[in-house]
Amino acid sequence: MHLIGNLSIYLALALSIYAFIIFILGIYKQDQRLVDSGKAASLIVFIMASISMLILFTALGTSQLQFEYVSAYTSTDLPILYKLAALWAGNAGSLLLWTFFLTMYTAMVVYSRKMKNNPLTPYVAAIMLANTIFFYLILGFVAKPFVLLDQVPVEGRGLNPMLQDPGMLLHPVTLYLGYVGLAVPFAFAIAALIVKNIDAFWLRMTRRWTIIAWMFLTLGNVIGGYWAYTELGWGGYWAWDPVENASFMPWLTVTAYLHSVMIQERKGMLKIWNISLIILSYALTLFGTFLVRSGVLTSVHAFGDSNLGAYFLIFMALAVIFSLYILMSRYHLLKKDSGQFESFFSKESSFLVNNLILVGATFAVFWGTIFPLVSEAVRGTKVTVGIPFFNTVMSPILLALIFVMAVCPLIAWQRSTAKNLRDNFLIPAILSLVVVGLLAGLGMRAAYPIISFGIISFMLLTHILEFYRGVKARRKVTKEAYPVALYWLMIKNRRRYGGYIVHFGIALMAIGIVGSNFDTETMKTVPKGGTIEIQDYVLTYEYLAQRSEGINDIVFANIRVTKNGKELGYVQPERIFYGSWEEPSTEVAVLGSLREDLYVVLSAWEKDERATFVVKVNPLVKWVWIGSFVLVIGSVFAIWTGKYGNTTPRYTGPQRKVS
Amino acid sequence: MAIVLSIIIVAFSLYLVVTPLLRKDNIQLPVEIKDDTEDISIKNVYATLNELEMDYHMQKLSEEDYQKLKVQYERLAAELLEKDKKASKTDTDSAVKDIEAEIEEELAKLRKERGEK
Repeated sequence: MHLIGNLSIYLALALSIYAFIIFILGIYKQDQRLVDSGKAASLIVFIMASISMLILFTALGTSQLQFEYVSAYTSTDLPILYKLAALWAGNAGSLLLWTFFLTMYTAMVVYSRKMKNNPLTPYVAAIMLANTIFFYLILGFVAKPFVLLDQVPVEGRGLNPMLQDPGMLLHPVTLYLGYVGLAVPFAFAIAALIVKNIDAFWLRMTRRWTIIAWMFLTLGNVIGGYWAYTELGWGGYWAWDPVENASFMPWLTVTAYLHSVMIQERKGMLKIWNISLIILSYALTLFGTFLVRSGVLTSVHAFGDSNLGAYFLIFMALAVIFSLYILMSRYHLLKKDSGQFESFFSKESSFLVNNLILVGATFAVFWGTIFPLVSEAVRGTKVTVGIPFFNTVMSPILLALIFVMAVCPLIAWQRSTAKNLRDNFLIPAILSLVVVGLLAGLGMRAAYPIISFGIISFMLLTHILEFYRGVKARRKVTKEAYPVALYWLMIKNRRRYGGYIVHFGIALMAIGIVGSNFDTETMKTVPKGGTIEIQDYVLTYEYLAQRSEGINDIVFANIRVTKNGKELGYVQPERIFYGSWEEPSTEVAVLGSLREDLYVVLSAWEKDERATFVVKVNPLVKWVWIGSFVLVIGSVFAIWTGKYGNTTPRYTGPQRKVS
Repeated sequence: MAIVLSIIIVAFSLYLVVTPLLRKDNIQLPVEIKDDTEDISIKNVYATLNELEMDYHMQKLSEEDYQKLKVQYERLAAELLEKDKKASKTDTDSAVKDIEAEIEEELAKLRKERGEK
């Protein structure tokens, strides 16, 4: 098995080098036969990557402990799902997964029906293959997945218990799909620069792939947050950990791109800016991988046990230098922007503001993330930039962004007048002031959250109004019933309304995020039968017990929960002791509703059965998860192919009286 | 077994990669990409007019702005249609000329043949 495994790696390396060279030769000689051979080679590279994955999955699933990777990350007693998920527990496996996605995307682009006869195809493929070659070099010579041990151990070292969670089955996969997905628009961007031309087809393809990558990146981050919330037991879902930031930064720049590209499509503006955003996003994914793999920063993602980071740094530097060189050398050749901003009150202006905010946010996160490194280099001491820094900087940025999101849908392209703006904003503004008043009336005193909820409700209301007015405008012409008009309105403008659904998702997530301002926490040691009171909850600690699951021992507390005297049931926070791992892990008990989560952690216990619990009431957390579902629905709705809405409206420049 | 399988995999890969190279015909690569992001088609203008109307009905545009922009884009649409018409007319003209020339050529050939006889 290991022979086939190694063959699949080295053959893929050889073929990706071959494909890269033959594509370039094909372009140089304008010989379709060479390009076709390169295409076949890209397909085989993908087949080889699939074979590698299949073999590693088989080895992990059947506990072939003679493989170093299998014995390092699994044990025979692991449930089969976690045995398989161990594929992305270590460096070699997770890089193989990365490579697999990269080769899959390359094959998809090369053999896509839409790319047939497109002269851009060999360029895009060659750029993606250059990435593939780098990953195969790592898999072939640095982090090899199919190394055999001299002696077969009786038992493996087991999987880090923190990774034994359903969230961990999906988090890396979705995140990688997002990270690697960004290689596609990057390749398209560089290819377009090389051929010195950007056509409407390029814009369409790049946008589509970027939305796909963006969606997976979002999902990856949210699932990671969910895992942190239920598994790490510190009570939150986002800690501004360097690695979290690493995946958040490309998310921000890609979000900026998805908006600014609309200005290019409709007004022929911001061409260089858009390409720069794509290059930056891709560079940030490599930077993120460098952070994870190098271990230069302390992080919950502790994979930094190798020199892989250095290779990534070199590769990132090469990729960035090459991209910048191409961008600079083509700068003057790209057709100059034909359109220009005409009015401050226009959709394009609001998109520009949104871009500035998002790029500003990226810079703030970047600075906060690398500051410890800078400080260490300059002053010799590593300063930790904590959660308060990020919260202080990012909260106003988030609010500003939501405000721009609220304003944007209600203004037209090219120009809007102050009167129209006022007419459109009046009702949502008054209603959100009512919300603010209600919240203050209900006893909320903190200014920040009140303002935040006000802005979020303003955003929700302007979007609802946009749907309502859209339906009304459509009915004026078609006289359809309301639901029919809504259906056709959305189907015929998938991008726009998909985008609005995504905005709804963001608003719901923002509700959850602002809710975290109101969490309350208590830590108490109570005897058997004792109670803990927090807000309206009374928790009665009934007993402590132990049960076994396989070779693991689980200690759990049984706690009865009542709220305002009403019985809510029982929660059982756990502490798991692993047969094959030294550190025990926490299994949080969450009793949740849309309003709040009761979050109980079993911290410690004594011989006399006194136990210490950390209890938190986290308001509105569920909205973060609900919002992310809505966001995914919106993204899928936006990219779903349909026969409508394929023609983008175009706006010409302003009509000048003099020249 | 593994060795046999490896040989099969390598052979299969080589077969797929080499086959296109052995082809005699070199189907030319498609023509160069044209920067059409600046081109405005009549369809784009219709979409713009449609969006303007929607924006007007949704009260995002003032009556004055709407009328001004509408006229501007209708004029553009008319210009584009005119251009299309001219292009197709020239096309038809040249096609007719081509056909005429061909007929003349054929006739000349026939005359020559007849003359020779």
